[in-house]
Amino acid sequence: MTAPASIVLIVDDDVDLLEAVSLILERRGYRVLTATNGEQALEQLRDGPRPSLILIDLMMPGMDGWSLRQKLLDNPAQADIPTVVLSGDHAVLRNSPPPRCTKTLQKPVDLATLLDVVKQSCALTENDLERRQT
Amino acid sequence: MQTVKGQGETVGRRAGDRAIVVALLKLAAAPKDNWEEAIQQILQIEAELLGLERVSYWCVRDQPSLIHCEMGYVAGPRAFERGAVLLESDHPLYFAAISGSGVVEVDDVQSDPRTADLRDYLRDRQISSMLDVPVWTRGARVGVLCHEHTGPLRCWSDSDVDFAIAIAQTVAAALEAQARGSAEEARRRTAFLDQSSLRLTRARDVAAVAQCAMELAVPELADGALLDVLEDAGLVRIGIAHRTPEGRALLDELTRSHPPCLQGPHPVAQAMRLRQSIFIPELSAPRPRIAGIDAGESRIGKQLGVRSGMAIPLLAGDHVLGVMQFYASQRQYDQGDLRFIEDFVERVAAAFENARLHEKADTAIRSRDEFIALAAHELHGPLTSLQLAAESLATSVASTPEATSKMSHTVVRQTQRLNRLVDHMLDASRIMTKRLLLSVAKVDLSKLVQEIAGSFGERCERAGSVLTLHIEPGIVGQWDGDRLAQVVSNLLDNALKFGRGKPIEVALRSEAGHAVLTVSDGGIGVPADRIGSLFDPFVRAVSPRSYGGLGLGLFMSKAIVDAHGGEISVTSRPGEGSRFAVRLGLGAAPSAGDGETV
Repeated sequence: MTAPASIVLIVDDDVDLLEAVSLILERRGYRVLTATNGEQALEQLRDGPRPSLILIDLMMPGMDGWSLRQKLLDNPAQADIPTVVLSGDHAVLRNSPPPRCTKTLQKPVDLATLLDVVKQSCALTENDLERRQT
Repeated sequence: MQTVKGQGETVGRRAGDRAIVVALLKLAAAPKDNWEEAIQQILQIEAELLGLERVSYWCVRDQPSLIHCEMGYVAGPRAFERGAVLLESDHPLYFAAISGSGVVEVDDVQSDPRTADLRDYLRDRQISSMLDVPVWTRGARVGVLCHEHTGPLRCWSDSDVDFAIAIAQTVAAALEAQARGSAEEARRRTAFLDQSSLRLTRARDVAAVAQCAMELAVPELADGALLDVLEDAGLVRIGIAHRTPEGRALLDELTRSHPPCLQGPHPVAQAMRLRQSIFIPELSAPRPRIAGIDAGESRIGKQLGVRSGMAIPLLAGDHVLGVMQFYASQRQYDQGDLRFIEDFVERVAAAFENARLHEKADTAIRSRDEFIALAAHELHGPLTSLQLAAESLATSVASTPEATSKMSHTVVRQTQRLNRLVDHMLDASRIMTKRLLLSVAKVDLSKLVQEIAGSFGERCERAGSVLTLHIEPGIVGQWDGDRLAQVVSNLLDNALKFGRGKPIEVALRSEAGHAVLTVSDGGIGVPADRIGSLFDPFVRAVSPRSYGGLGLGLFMSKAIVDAHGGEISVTSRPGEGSRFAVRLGLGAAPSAGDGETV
């Protein structure tokens, strides 16, 4: 993977999960940002670099996954960032997923699937960037 | 002594014939469906036609043997009277005379031996001659038609007697019509009860049953009805109905000023306690005050024009679900009405019991589904980290020693988390199904709290919460150390989860024979309307969308503290934080303990 590294923002209230996913993605050459709820994620997006992918959990204290997704869609600058939902509540994921997500993943997720989805979503963003630049 | 021979004959043949035809026409037109009106009309016609002061119908009763005046017509005042009773024990001669199958003709009551023991009755009414004719229905003597003459003695003519016998047969016909009417009424009542059962069983919840019961009760059974059911807090009025809006307003007022109460002599309280109907056939004045009904309630009863009432308990097996009251303003309830309404209330009670079981089952299923969804969510969290870490280790994604060590730690931590979760679930299910047993020993609570708080150090750091301890050393008591450790962990868990990264304070001190532990956070707090149910199982003060967790921590903590004979409480302000306090006795070992004591 050539520089600059793709940036992935992970939003989950489970710090253990943040740590494990960060470690895995960083070893694969991604730059990882973390947030434990929706508000923190919006702060990261406002103050930090634009990520190639946002990975969000649904049930979180404070601003939950649904509200975060809505806020992202409401902001034209963030609406097109690929967003993948990762949740342990399979029924909710099936019946009321947040709108216009790139993909939904059920917890627990296996390593290959996670890496695949991250790779594809980041590639989407990169292609998109190239198209815009040319 | 002057005797007037057969006044019926002195009226004259022609006029008499015409009068008799008119009388028979009137009798034919007598109402068949209303016994009371029919007998009044018959008695009046007969008295006028035979020129008698008084004609009355008496029904015969056994055990004790007596005759009871059901209706009498008095020509002088043109009035009806009823209710007189003559006992065989007081008037054996007279009873011997009328118990035969024939007519008792007495031309002179003063000299006739058959009326010798009837003197008082006869003197009071100034009766000189009398004629008694038995009334037969279906081969049984059911009553006596009495003809009483005042003034000069009267010698009863054959035509008088024939006419009286014909009238007695008319009375018998009216009695049979009444019996047929009763059978008709019984059929109508059975149909009503069947219809009630059908409608009541369709009502799916308690509120629907109550509404249906009130709609059926008024106006069919009562002018006004009230329904009270027993809830945790006591009797609650869930049904009020009246035939008129004004009556309804009065019953609303009554409910406000006299809410149902389990104590005292009020008919409702009595019906609850005695598990039997309280029946007051005559409520209207003037009568002695009814126990438990005060002046205020009497006043409203008077405004409603209440004449008769009953309070009937709703019974399900051997427990009482509530009481239904019925009031009649336009008539007086009798024993038949009581039995009929009791049958109706029995059906209402059955419907209530069904609805309750239904609601209970629904709630249980909902709670179970919610619990399973939450349990799955909770288990999926650590499983995700565990799976990713384990796979990373297996595929050497984590290639540096540092990364390998981190991943291994993740695996260990997630395994512990999963173990804790599974333990919690099993524990909760045990506590919910049976009593919590304690294993009591000498416990240094100061040390225990210190240790648990210490084990939370890393998690506090990750959450960004500063943990401060104020622990008075050497607080020792007879407790179950492992269980209390669970309580401290649960409280700290909550403080971290809902603490928004704000400081957390744990304090332990002794206070008047008690150990008092407090855990305070500066987190989101508990909304006022959720505080009451915070310690119930599967309850959370927040939406499960925002916070995971099984909703069992506080329920378990309370069960543990309760088993120790202690208290757990919470004070909270939404947005500012919560403070949980646990008070445990420092004295003797808790009675619930069955383990070894040091």
